[in-house]
Amino acid sequence: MAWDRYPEKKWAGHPPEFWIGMILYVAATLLIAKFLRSAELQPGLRFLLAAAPLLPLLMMGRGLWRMIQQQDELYKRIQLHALAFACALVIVLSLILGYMEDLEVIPHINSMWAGQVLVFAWGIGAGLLTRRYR
Amino acid sequence: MRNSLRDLREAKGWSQQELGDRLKVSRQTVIAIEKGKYDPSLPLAFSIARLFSRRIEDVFTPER
Repeated sequence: MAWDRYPEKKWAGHPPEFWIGMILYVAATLLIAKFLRSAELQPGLRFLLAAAPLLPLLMMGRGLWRMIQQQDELYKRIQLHALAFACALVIVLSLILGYMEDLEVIPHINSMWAGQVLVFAWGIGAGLLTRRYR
Repeated sequence: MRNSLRDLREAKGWSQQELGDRLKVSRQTVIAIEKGKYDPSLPLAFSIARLFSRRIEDVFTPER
């Protein structure tokens, strides 16, 4: 299978479970949100349903882990450096935005932004680092 | 770190992809090592030296 080989294109190697997990995550978040906004449920059940997208997220995480495990040492280094860059960016942004939010200088922002910024910065960082080693 | 990987590879008539397959690394890793943009780990450096039947210091030399 393509993801069992050392990838020439850095994003060509995602295993199927990553993509399946992503589709399930998007579908679950949309459907569960629509359902919970209209249905009257017990708080415990609401909590369980709202936390359900965690399962496809874990599936995506396992897919990413497997992809990185299959990569050679240069690609692992690129992923590690890109992830470190993304984490540093999220830490800095969360500290300053959290502080500003606490002071009511800016409006409340949904904390989902942290994951989105991390994934985006990870991708950009990996792309830039891959170019550096060409 | 300087290295003679390109000369050694060309002497064998191997492509970068072929060398990568033999070392179980990507073609990009071979390119990065040949260009001196990436210093391989010690296990990979030993694998390279062993593949060409050389000592590791014959393939890799520190820059002064």
